[in-house]
Amino acid sequence: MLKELIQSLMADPSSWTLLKNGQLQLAGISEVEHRALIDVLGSSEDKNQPMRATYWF
Amino acid sequence: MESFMQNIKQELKDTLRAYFIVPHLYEQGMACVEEKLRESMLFSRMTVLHYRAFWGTGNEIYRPAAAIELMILSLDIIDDLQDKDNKAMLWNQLSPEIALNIALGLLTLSQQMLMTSDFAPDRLVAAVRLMNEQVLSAINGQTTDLLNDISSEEDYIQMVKQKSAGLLVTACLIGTLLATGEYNSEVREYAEQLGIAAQIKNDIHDLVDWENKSDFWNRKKTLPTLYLIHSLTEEQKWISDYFEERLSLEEVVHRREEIQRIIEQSGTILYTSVRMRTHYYNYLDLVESMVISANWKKQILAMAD
Repeated sequence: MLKELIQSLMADPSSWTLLKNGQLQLAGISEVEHRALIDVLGSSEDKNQPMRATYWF
Repeated sequence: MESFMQNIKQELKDTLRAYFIVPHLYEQGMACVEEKLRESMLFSRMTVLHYRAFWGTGNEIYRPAAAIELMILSLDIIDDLQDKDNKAMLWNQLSPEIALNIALGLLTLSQQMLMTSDFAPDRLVAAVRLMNEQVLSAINGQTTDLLNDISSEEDYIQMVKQKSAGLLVTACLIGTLLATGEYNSEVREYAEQLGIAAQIKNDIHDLVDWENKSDFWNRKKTLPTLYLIHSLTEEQKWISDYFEERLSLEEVVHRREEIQRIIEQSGTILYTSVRMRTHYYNYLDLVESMVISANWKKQILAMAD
């Protein structure tokens, strides 16, 4: 399910902002996956090319 | 930590001197150990840390911790010989015959060191059994890896649990086992999560390491490459043809920029970063739930930094 969610996010990057602002409801992924997704998307904010960014822990 | 390094180094030096009788074997074996000592020593540190966190006292733990580091070193040497990479490492500058001989010696020595540590016999038997089971598991995982026999994310996670994550689990569990005499499944669980996160991190790096050992060029099935293959559009199916060896390297090597763009646009890095971070959060949450002092939790969590 996470896989499909990422694919839909990549198809519509404007949904990233909605997701980060909590305006997009996510179904089918766990609480920890949700937390990780928000965190990884957040860590890309200050990068010029988010899709090229690499996120370490 | 200075005394940690000194204690580990002394244990390794004494043991190699006792068992590696032929001068060339001792000298080259020690040179490999010295090279290993320049790294983070994560595994032996985890053994000592878990021994202390679970109320173990005294210096007896340094010998088992050194044994763990020898086990890791021997498997690293064998892995490099099989993969033919990491050319800068000292053991890859030796002849393969000698390097293999040293690796076999170090692997056997790791068991000998653990078995002759200063602990109650029942704990030592349990610790050696754990180590042997893990080495055998890693050999199974390595076989899957060498055959590139991975067709799903479940296969990938299973292989990682057998190989890299399993070795970290062993380092942590031997510390707790020698301290308490018991097998701690909670420690196993969080160490496994950290090991999986670390392996995913390596695999993201190895996918985009175009100049050295790119997993793409090597057609290696990992979490990032499995996602990439799964996400391809009809026009991009030539990438899966390459992974299935229907296209040669020569036929795709000039399309590197296109490959990079497909990796970016597919969300491969985003997906695998989220997966990595999910396992990392599992690790944090599981460590936080442990019944050990806050100071030890902090130190265990710091090992992931």
